[in-house]
Amino acid sequence: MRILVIGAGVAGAQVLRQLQKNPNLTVLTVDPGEEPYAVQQGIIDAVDIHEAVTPLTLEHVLEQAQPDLVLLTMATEDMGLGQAPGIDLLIGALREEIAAIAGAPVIEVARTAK
Amino acid sequence: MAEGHIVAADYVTGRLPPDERQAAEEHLRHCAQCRAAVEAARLTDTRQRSEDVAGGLISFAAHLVQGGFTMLAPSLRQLPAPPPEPPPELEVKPTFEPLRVLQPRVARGARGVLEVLGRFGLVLIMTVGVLLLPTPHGLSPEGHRALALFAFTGSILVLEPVSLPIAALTVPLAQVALGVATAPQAFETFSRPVVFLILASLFLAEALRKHGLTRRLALLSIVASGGGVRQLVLGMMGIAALLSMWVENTATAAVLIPVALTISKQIPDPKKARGLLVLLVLGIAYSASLGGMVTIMGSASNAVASGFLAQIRPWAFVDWMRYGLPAFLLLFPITWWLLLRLVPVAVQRLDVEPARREVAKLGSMSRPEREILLTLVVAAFFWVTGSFIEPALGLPPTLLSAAMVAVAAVAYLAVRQIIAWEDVKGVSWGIFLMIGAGLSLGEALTRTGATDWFAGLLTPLVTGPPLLISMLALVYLTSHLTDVMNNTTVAAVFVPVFISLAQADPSIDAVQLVLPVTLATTFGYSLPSASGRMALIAATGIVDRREMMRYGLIITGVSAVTLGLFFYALAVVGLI
Repeated sequence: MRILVIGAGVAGAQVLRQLQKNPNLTVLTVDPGEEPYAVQQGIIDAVDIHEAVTPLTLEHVLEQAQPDLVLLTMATEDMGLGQAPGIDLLIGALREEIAAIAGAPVIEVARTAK
Repeated sequence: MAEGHIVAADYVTGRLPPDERQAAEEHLRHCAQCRAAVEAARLTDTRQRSEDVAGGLISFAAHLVQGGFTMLAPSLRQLPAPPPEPPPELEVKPTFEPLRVLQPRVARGARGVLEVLGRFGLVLIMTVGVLLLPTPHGLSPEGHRALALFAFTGSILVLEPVSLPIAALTVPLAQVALGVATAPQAFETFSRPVVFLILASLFLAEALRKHGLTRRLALLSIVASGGGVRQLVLGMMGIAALLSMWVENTATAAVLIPVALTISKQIPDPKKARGLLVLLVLGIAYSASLGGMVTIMGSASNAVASGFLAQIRPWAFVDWMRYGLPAFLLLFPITWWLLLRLVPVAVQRLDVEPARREVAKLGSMSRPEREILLTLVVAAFFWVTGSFIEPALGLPPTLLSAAMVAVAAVAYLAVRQIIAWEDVKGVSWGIFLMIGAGLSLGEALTRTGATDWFAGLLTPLVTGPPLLISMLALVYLTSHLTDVMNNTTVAAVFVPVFISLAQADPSIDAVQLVLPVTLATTFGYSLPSASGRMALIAATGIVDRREMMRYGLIITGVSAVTLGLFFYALAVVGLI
């Protein structure tokens, strides 16, 4: 089973740590950051696809990853877009839009404490 | 392999075991689709590598080791093999790279911290600087300290050493520290009805978002447009404006921007897609601001102005709408027309079938969606007619005031379990603090006499030249001031000044000046600091600063002159 984890920040790192317990899973990560949290923590060596996932790039990313399941772990704090008012709402709406238009099943992962 | 095709990312990054790689290479000779996918994956991989200088150096060192120290060959054989070269005979179809937005900003680390400290230091320097100046003639020592408070508020909201809501929270602190208010005085404005009206509108926006009603309405407007770009932009702008009249406008824009991204995805050429995206996103931001002109709850500056007007005369929800709605109906089509002419878009039509499929996927409107719509319609009815119905039916005073109707609407949605406390915890509460702080600043300026002093400075501009000139000048100045100053602060300073001017000179009607100047704060289109909508667009990276400035200045100029002329006409015919 191929699982695509969108976001390798704090939330993504937690998800990746759990998924790595099952060696039968093929886990791919996508994140736009130079060195996201999951890489800094040594959970993964590098992200598989460097990309900011938006409705514009989603198809491109899914084509490359061919996932059976997508886990959305895009916490606002991990997106690195600054603190503009309403940015939380924008990222929330973006997650919902991605989940709505993705061909593969998508599960949103809520961020938990570090 | 998936459905007989290869997985490009695995092939390019060397994940495949040798037997699968051999099979993949064989498959690539026959499958054009996979060849294109591999080329696209390789392009992405190459781009990543070229961007990463450190990665390049490591790769170079690895090659050096590989070439020079053959004794390490057995160990090197265990390293992942470099990606295979593409077969020379492969004919790769040109593929478009997707348009990329929402790229993370570069982390600034310690430099960022120093910058924040530097910005806060600058706020303190400006505040202390005003305190150290000699007290201006005609101003009391308290008024002088209130001027320092104005400098503190203005600079902390412009320089943003901390996020805006926290900056707003420091305003009462500064008031007490500067001795221009006691703690109860400084916080009293945070409990005004208008603050709760805005808060309730945030909760209503959350209900719309939670149940996907904003997205459904946007998709329906796309389908209704028939695919013509002009109609599509009009539809998206119309939805943004319509919702922003009743719920918080930055929240509305935030929900609609991802829908704009989905629409633009249809265009494969990134340059053409970007043109359409810029047009849509600017249209959403401008119309969300314009929609906010219509009602008291449409924007924080309207709420602040209404808060002050309600203290000098009966001022109901419908009183604001009487001027806000016609101004909106005048400016909305002008803005749409100007945007279409200013922003170049290479496509004229889009396929609405994907939007139609999305609407079909959503199914028929759910019970919560229907009830939210109905609640909004009923609430809007009472917002408009409440001030007439309440005395006619002998209801307790203010039962049908705007804030009470909004709170009742939220309570109804909560009772029906359409929204819960968990949902509303996530809303942008910051605006609540911004309005409270704006009102608090205005009160402090009025209480200490600083407002009268400001009014004295502005008298020559207001009473000297003909009304047309002074109105145009005030509206134009405000519309540009709002680019660099927070809207709420602009309203908090100007509104009490105009009220003070009107009280001193019976020939001046406060509403005649307050309304156009407050509405002019809508036109903050040129800089990210102008409004929440523009800050949001800047954060997405969809529109660059130069474009924002160019389009913003032109549309602001035209809108300001139109608004000034409109209110002048109302004054001339005696409607204001």
